[in-house]
Amino acid sequence: MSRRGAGGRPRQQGVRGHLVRRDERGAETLEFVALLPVLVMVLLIAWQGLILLREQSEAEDDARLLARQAVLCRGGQAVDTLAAIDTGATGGTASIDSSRAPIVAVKVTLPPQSVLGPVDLASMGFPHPVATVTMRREPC
Amino acid sequence: MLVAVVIAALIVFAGLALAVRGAVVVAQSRAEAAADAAAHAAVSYLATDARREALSVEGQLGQADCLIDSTHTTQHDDPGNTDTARSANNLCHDVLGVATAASDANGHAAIVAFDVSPDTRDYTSAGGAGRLVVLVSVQLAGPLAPYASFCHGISDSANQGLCTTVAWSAAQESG
Repeated sequence: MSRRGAGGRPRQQGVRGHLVRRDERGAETLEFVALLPVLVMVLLIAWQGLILLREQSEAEDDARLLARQAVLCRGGQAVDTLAAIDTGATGGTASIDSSRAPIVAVKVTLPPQSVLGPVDLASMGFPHPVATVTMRREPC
Repeated sequence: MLVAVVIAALIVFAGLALAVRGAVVVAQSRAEAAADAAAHAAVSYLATDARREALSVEGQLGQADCLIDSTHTTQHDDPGNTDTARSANNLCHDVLGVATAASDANGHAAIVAFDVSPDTRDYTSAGGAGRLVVLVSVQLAGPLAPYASFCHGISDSANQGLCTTVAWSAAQESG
């Protein structure tokens, strides 16, 4: 007849029961360690996705700002550069297409930033955050 | 094992929630750009059209409405009795077309409200022409829009950004 402690759970019986519990804990730790890289990978992918979404939002705002400048009558004043309106857009490009006058299309492309810092995602074929804003030029 | 699965599930769930939130922010930026483009295109078109004075005068006199929203249309389908009223009505049609094209060119946003009205500061007792003001609201599909079942029945305005994104903009003629 086994003896039971509080809550009806069997008490550990001697050295053998103690070893069994230690083995279970060890197996759980091993499983957790084995899964840790997967967890870290999932975390990095989620973080990377957020960075790309933030960049996409930045590209949209930059394109809108440049498009507004491009369509306004500014007395011959040139449109600002991408670096001037967004100091964080290092390595980004902005192109202004006025070939379909009076429609002006501004396209901003930002290099995809990596969560791992020095890793160059652009050279790995990663999609660039791109935004295009089309506006109508006002008459001068 | 259970702890690892729970942690993984939490990370995935949090990641998905943040990704959806990020997509809402991006859609909002795009909608604002579309609204800006539509309002600016309308004002630019008005500035070059000879009929703009007719629209301004008729608007001040209350003879022409150039107001369209999702619930009703008060744009005059009746061309009006006078040449001026007809010009104002035709111009309203044309400006709406230009604004719609500009909105569509920016992420296929749809115009849900559009109003061209005289600037109240330029009202004159003689009914002379003044500046015109354009107000535009546009609607864009949100990140969950492709999944209609998620969007069905959402009435809470805080969650509507998941299905539709709305933005407005205004522009005024210079002068």
